[in-house]
Amino acid sequence: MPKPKHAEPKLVNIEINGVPLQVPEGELLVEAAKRVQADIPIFCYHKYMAPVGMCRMCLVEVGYKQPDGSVRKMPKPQASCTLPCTEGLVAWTETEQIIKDRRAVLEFLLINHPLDCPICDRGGECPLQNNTQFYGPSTSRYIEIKRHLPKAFPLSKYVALDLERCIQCGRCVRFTEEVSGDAQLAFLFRGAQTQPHTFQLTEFTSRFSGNVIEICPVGALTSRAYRFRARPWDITTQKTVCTMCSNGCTLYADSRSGKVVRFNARENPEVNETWTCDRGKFEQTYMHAPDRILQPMARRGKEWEPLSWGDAYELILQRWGALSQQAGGRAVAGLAGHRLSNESLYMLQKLLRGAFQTNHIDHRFTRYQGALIEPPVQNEYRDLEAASLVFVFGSDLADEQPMVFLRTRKANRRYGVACIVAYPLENAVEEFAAHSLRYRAGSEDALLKGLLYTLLDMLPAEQAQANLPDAAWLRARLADCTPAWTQDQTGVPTETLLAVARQIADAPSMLILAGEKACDHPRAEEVIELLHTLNRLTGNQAREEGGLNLMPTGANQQGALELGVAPHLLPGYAPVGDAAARERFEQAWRVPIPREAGLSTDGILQACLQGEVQMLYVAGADPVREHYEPSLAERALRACEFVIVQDVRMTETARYADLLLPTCPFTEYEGTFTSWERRVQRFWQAHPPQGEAKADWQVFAELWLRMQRQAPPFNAGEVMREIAALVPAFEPCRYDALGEYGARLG
Amino acid sequence: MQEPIIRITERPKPPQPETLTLRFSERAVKELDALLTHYPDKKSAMLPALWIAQREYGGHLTADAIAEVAYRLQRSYAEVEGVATFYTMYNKTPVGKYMLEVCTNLSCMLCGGYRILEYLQQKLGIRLGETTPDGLFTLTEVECLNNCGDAPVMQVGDIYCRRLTPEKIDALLEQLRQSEEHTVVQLADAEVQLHLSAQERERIQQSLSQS
Amino acid sequence: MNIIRDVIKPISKGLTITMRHFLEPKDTVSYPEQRKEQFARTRWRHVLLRYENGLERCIGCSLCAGACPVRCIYVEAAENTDEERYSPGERYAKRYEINLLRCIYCGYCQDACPTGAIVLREDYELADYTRESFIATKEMLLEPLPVRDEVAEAVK
Repeated sequence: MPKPKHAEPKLVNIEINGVPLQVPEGELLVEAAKRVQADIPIFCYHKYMAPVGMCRMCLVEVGYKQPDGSVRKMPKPQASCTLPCTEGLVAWTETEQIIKDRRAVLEFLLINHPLDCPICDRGGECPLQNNTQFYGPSTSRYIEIKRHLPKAFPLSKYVALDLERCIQCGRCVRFTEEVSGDAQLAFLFRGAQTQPHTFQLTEFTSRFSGNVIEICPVGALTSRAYRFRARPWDITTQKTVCTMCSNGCTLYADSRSGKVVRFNARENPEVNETWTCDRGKFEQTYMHAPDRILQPMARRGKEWEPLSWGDAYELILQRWGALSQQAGGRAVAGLAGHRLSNESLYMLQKLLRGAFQTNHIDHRFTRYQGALIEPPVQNEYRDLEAASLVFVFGSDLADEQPMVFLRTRKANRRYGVACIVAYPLENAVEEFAAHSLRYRAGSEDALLKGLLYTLLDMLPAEQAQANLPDAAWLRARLADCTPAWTQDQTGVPTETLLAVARQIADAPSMLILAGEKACDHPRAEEVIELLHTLNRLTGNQAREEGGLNLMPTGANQQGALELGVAPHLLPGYAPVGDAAARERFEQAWRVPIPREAGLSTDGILQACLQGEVQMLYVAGADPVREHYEPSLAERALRACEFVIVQDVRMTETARYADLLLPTCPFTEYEGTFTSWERRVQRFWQAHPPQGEAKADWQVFAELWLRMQRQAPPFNAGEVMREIAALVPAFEPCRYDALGEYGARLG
Repeated sequence: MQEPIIRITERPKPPQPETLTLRFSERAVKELDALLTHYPDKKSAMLPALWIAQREYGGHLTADAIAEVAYRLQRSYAEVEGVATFYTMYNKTPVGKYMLEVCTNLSCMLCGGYRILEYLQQKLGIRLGETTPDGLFTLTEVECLNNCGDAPVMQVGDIYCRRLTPEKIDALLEQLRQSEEHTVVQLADAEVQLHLSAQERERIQQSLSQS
Repeated sequence: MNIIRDVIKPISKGLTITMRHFLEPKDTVSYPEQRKEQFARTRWRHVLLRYENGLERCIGCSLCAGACPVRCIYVEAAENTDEERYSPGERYAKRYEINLLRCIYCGYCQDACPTGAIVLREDYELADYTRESFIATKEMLLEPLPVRDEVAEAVK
C-alpha cells in the first residue's frame, strides 16, 4: 500500500501540445495538462474524486512514442480524465478534431438544458456557461420543445434540485457515494429520464449536502439559503477560515453590501481538499444575528446605557483602580472563548498577566481542566492516510470533527487504513470501521483499562517493557481488569475486545483521535492518562504518523492552549512557575508576571461565588452555554461584582454582564486560527464591522495602552510578529511567511 | 444570511432501519444467504436480490421492497432504487398476473406487431402500459425478443407465443384466464433459481422441509 | 457722411432680416406650459416595462447591474409564489434602484436586459432638490398598470 506521505513518485516523460515534460507516473492527463497551461474543459471530472469519463468533454487526441521515434496515434480521441500518464505519451488538446468534438458535446448537452441563465443562481460562475462560451457552438440546431421537469424541487433545508438543468455528470451522486459515504443520491431511471434523486424523494439528510451545490457544474443543485440573493458580479469574495469547529476548513466568504451571503469551500489540499460540512457552510450566520451588540453598554439597574469606547475603558480602569488597592490581581480573572483569533488570545493573556497581574485565565469549559500531562503533539491530516490504524475514541467523529471524518473515510477507502471506533451510540464511522466498540456511556475508563490489560498480555514482554518502562507497575494496577470484567463494566463483548486488541497490537502504527466523551468525562484526567498510556505502550509516542490527538471542539481551542490562555502555562507551553520563561516574557512586556499558577475555569467560577474574584473578563465565551455545569456558571456570574462580557452577540452570559463590549466576528477583522493539527491559517476581513464593533485584540491592545502606557500593536500582523519573536513555534506564522495553506507550528 | 426564500415544504425523512417491515420469507432469506456467497461483496448480489424481492412482494418492487433489499445488502436506499429503476424487468408499479409483452421491433413490426398490439388493446380495453381492472393482464411493448423467425412474437412470463394471429390471441387469453399461475412471480422465481446452483437449491429445500 | 446710405439703409437691411425671421414659424416653446415632442430614440430616464397582462418584465437577474459601467443599478431579487406573482417564472426584482446622479444614460442596461424590461425613454425632467430623490426606486421606474378599458371591452 503506497503511503502518500513518504512515497516518492516515479517520473515519466510525456509531451502535451509539443511541450515535453516530466510528470509522476499515473497522474491523469487532465491534471498533467494543467502544468503546461493546456486548457481542457471538464464537467464530470473532479480532482478529489475518482474519474469516470461520463461527460466526454475532456476529449484529447493521444499517441504513444514508438521505439523508432515515431508517434503512433490512437484512432479515436480519448477522455483525458481517465487516462493515466505513462512513458512516451503524446497528447494534443487543440486540434481541429478536438475543437469539433467539444462543440458537438456541448451542443448535445445544451439540447435539454434550459436557457434560463438570467434567473439561475449559477449564472456567471457556471462551468457549462463558460465552456459553451469558449468551446461551444453559437447556435443550436435543436428547435424542438425541450423536456420539462420540476423546477426548484426542495431536496432538503439547504439544497434545491432543478432537474431540467441537470447534465447527468454524476458529480453529486459520486460525492455522496465516494466522499461523504452516505450514498443518498443515485441516478434513477435510464436514458433520457435519468435523474439524480434521493430514495423515494425523501429528504437529503447528509451532513455534507452543501458540497453537491458547489461541485454541480450547472445550476441543477443550488443553495436554498443563497437562492436569488446575489449574482457573482454583485459579491466580493474574501478568503477566510471556518469557525464552527477546530478542523480549520478554508472558506471563501462572499459578501454583498456588507453582509455575508454564502460560504464556499476554498481548496486546501492539506486540510479540507475542497469540501465543507453543512454546519460551516449554512449554519455559520451569527455575524448577522439580530441580537448583535453594536456599541459598548453599561448596566444601569435593569437598563443598558450606551457608552463610548473611551468611557467603557474608563469604567474598567476605575474598577481596577479600586480593586488593585485592596486585593490586586487575585481578584481579577479572564475566560476566553474558542472563536477568538490567535492574536486576540495572545493579547488577552498578555493583558491579564501583565496589566491585571493575574494568572486566573482559562479557555476550557469541559471537565478536563487539569494540568497537561505533556504538551500535545498533534498529528496532521496527512498522517491519517499514512497511519495503518486510526482509533476513534469517544467521538461521534462525523458530528464533532466533520472534516477529520471525511479524511479518515478517504484514508480507509483509498489507502486501506483500518479504523476502530469506540463510541456509546450508533455513529457514521461504523460504516467503514473494522470494529465498533459500543460501550455503555460513562465507562470509557473501564474500556481503556480492559484494552490495556489485554494488550499487555498480547504484546511481547520485552516490547512492552521498551515502550513503557513502568509496564510491570501498570500490569499490577490493572490486575483485575480482565476481559470478562470489562464486558461486565462496559458491555463490550470479550471477543470484540480481544479482536480489537489483536488489531492494535499488530498495527505498525496507530493514530488515536480522542473526542468529547474522553475530554468531558467525569473522570477525564484518568481517561486521558490511560489514553497516553495506550499511546506509549503501543510505541506510537515516537512515531511520526501515529500518536494521541485530543480533539479540540472550538475553532481556536488549540490556539488558546498554544498561546497560554491557561492558568499554568505561558505562550508556547512554558510553565508559569519556570522563572527563565517568565523572565523572557517579562522583558518583552516590560512588566512583572505573577509567579504562581492561577485558577482554572472551575476554580475561577468557584472563586466568583466566594467573592474572591470580583472582576471577571469574559471574552468571546459563553460559560452559561458552554460550561459542562451551566448552573455553576450562572450562579458565579450572578455573584461576581463586575462582569465584563466582550462578545459578538447577546449570549446567555451577556445577560449577567455589567459592561458589554461589542466585538467583530471573524468576517469583520483579520487574524489567524490554529486548527486541531496545530496549523495556523490566516483569515481576512470580508466586510466592514457593524456598529462600533472592534476586533478583540484591538480592545485588549487599547486597554494595554491605557494601563501600561506602552505603544500598542497597530495591526494583527504586528501582534503575530510579537508572538513569533517570543514563541519559537510560531516562527513560520509571521504574516509575510504564512502561505495560502497555512503553516504547522514547529 | 437570511431565511431561505422558498417556503419550506418538508420532505419526508428516509426510513430508519428499525422502522422497516421486513417481509422476506424464510426461504427468501436462505436464498439470499446462499447468493451472497457467490460474490466478493454484498453489492454484487443486488440484481438477484431484487428478483427475490420482486417475487416476495407479489410481482413488483414497492418502496418497502427496495428498502428491504437495501437493508439486507447494507447499501443505501437510493443506490438500490437507482438499480431497480434502471432495469425494465423490475416492475415499479403493480402489474397483473400476466405480463403480455409484445415485440414491436423490426421483424415483428414488419409482420404486424403493431396490429397485434392494437388488437390486444381493443380486446382487453386497456392502453399500453395499463393493467386490466380485474388485475389479470398488463400490456407492454418490448424490444426484440430474439425470435424474429417466428414474428410477430409475444412473451407471457417465460412462455413465447409465436406467429401471432387474432385467433391465437383469443385462445391464449382464454387459456390464461382459466389458469391459476402468476407468471410474473414465476418468472422472478425462475430468475432466482437460475442464480443458485443445484446443490444450493437442494440444501435450501432440505433445511426448509426440516423446520 | 450720407445719412441715408450709411445709417438708414444698413439699419433697415438688418431690420428686414429681423422682420423676416419674426414672421417665420418659431422653434422655441414656452416650456412648462408647452412641451416639445422628443425623438423616437431619445434615451432619458429608465422605465421598467410590463407585459400586456400586467406582469412585470423584469426578472431581477441583475444583468443590467453587471453591464452598468458606473455601477448605478442595485437589484435585489426574490421568488415569485403563486399567491404573490409579480413576473412570469421563478424570480422577480424585489428592489430595483437606479442612482440617476451616477447614471450616464449609456443604455448598456437596455442592451443587457434579456427580457427587454428596462428601456430608456423620453422623460427628461430629471431635476430635483435633494440627492436622495435621485434614487429612482422600482415603484418610480415601473410602468403603470395598463388601465382596463371596460367600455371598449363591453362593446366587443
